[in-house]
Amino acid sequence: MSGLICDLPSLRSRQLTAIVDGTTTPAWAEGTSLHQLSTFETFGCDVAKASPPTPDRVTPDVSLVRKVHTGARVKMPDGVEVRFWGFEDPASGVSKPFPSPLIRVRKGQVVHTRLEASKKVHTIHHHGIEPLPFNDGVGHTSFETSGSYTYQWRPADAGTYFYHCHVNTVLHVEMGMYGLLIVDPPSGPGTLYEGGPAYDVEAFIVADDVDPRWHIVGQDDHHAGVCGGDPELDRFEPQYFLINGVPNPRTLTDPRCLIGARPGQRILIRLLNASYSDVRFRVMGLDATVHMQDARPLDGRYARPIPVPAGTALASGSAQRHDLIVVAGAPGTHVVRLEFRHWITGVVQGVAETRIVVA
Amino acid sequence: MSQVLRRRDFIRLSVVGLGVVVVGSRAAFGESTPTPARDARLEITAAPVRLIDGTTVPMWSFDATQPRPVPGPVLMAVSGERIEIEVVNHHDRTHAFAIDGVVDSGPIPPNTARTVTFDAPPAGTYLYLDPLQAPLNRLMGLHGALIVMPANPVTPYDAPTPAVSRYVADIGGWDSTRQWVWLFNQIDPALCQRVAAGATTLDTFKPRYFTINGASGFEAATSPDVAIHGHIGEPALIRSLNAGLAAHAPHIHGNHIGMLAAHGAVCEDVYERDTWRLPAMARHDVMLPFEVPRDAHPWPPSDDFHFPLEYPMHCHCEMSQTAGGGLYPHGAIAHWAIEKTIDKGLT
Ligand SMILES: [Cu+2]
Ligand SMILES: [Cu+2]
Repeated sequence: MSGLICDLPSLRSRQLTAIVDGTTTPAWAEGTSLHQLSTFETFGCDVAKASPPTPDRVTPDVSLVRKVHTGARVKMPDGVEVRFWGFEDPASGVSKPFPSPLIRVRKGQVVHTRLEASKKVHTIHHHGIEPLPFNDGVGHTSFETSGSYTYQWRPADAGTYFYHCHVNTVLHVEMGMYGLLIVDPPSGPGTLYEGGPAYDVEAFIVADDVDPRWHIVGQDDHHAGVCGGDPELDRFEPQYFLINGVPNPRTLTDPRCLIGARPGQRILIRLLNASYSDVRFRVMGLDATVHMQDARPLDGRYARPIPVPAGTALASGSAQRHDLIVVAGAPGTHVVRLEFRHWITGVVQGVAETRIVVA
Repeated sequence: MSQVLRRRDFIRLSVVGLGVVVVGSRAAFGESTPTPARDARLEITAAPVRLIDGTTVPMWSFDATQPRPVPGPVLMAVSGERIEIEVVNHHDRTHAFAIDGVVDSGPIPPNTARTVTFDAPPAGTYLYLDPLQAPLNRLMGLHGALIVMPANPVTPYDAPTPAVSRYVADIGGWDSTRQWVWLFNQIDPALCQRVAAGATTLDTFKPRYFTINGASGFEAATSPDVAIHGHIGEPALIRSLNAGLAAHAPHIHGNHIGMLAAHGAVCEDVYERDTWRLPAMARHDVMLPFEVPRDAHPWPPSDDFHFPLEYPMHCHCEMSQTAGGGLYPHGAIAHWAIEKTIDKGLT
């Protein structure tokens, strides 16, 4: 079979190679590590680090700032305090949030997300958004942000996304460097997408699972394992199960999780699996319908809406999003249940529950 | 194996030269020659497998003459045609060859051979494997992909659903030479050592290496059988399979995919996703449309240095992005790239 392997030049970060070749030499590239060619090392251990200006920068419709912090603390039900990292919005007045604050824009707006990385390198990858690689936040296909960088993008599709750091992603996402990202249709909140279903109440269900060992590993070394060593980042043993940053069972009473509606209202649930488990989502006692997946409509062109009858499981893989509409019935309480299944054994490692309260 | 098969038995499946063994006699892929006595021969041996960090683990192979002994070679046929595969067991254990629901050789004792004959199943993606001591022999490396093509490959299927036909038409049609196999696997070196030494039970499975077509990290991202490239308007079919035990969640940057087939069945509804679930033993066909990255602004960029636009696909169950416990991102990752061209428009 060996003769069949073709000798095409390997796919490298040729947009960077072009700079090195002198095809293009932006002034900002001089004196930075962007001069490196892609190799085994620059793919992982020694990724280019830079704070370039944004190519083709235009005046944005929306400007956001996300400043890295490493100081959130969440008290778990057993009393253990776990450290989280994240992105702070200086304009919000909320310091050291976990998860990171919502990004909410409208379809067609030019958006600038300015990352201020502080002391260590980080990036922002807008997950599900499809910009140029330069604005995609992946170190080995562009660069890791050492100071600050403004990611430029213009969402073409309404829907539910999220954003997260893409440096040593396995660890930095577990450390909490993620937040929800919503693109509304031009008409704004209230409709899922243009011509799509309307909703009266909007709820977020962001699932996460936490292995406290990893948070100690991250606190000790932001680059753990990247250049060698064995921090056992293939061994993930979550102890805590969270919705919207709140550990179960506080999820049953915490206002950040509870969903309130009046009888007959249409509730939109934006479900994001930000965990490393294979999640099963259920609404007890109420039927739900999935209208979007990964920010693409189930509008009948290629796919129909998916019914999720009361109590039945919807599977959500790591990083998937599902947008469901539930019609609130008579006054009452309905449990929303997440099961976190181990990625290898399939065993249910934990659950997180909250409630829909119809009153 | 390359000695026993004649040149006509090989084709270049894709523009980047994915090597495959064509099985079956139909002359759909070029020269018409008499039916060979045997379409392919798989030779089972023990084979050391070198991993991305230099670790070597004892595994078992269907064809150790390949640059990467695991997985076995990609077999390719046209639906309905008769296939003969000779399976030679050079190993000191009993093995077998099977495709779930299609064929099972039964036990092949050490130093014997068995020829399996079967009709190619409906067009789609299949996993062949050694079903003995399940899942051990499969986890030891005895697995590979069988691609079955329709006689008329307008879509990848004999009988596409209306949704699949519409999706493929909307993305501008599919050039059937543009297809790649992404066969995911997980390797637990300790398990490989135990089984090589005679263990016959799974006990524990703690994978430490995560491969696509036997490669991981930088090697996968730069290997032509894994890395995809093309121009805007040149869709690529990705046949994603998972031969291991862990659930993967492949996430692709740059474009959403359309899922055309799941678990071997052509989809009634084509789901467009950026992340799809790929549980153990899943075989899902997804189409990468090679459309303009929708959220890039301005488009096209003013400076050519952005090209080729290179994007990763990585599993979002991020433990799979490690090798030996660290070395992010030298795990289950692939790359795809959009070339700049003067032949095809950029918009
Ligand atoms: Cu980070
Ligand atoms: Cu992501």
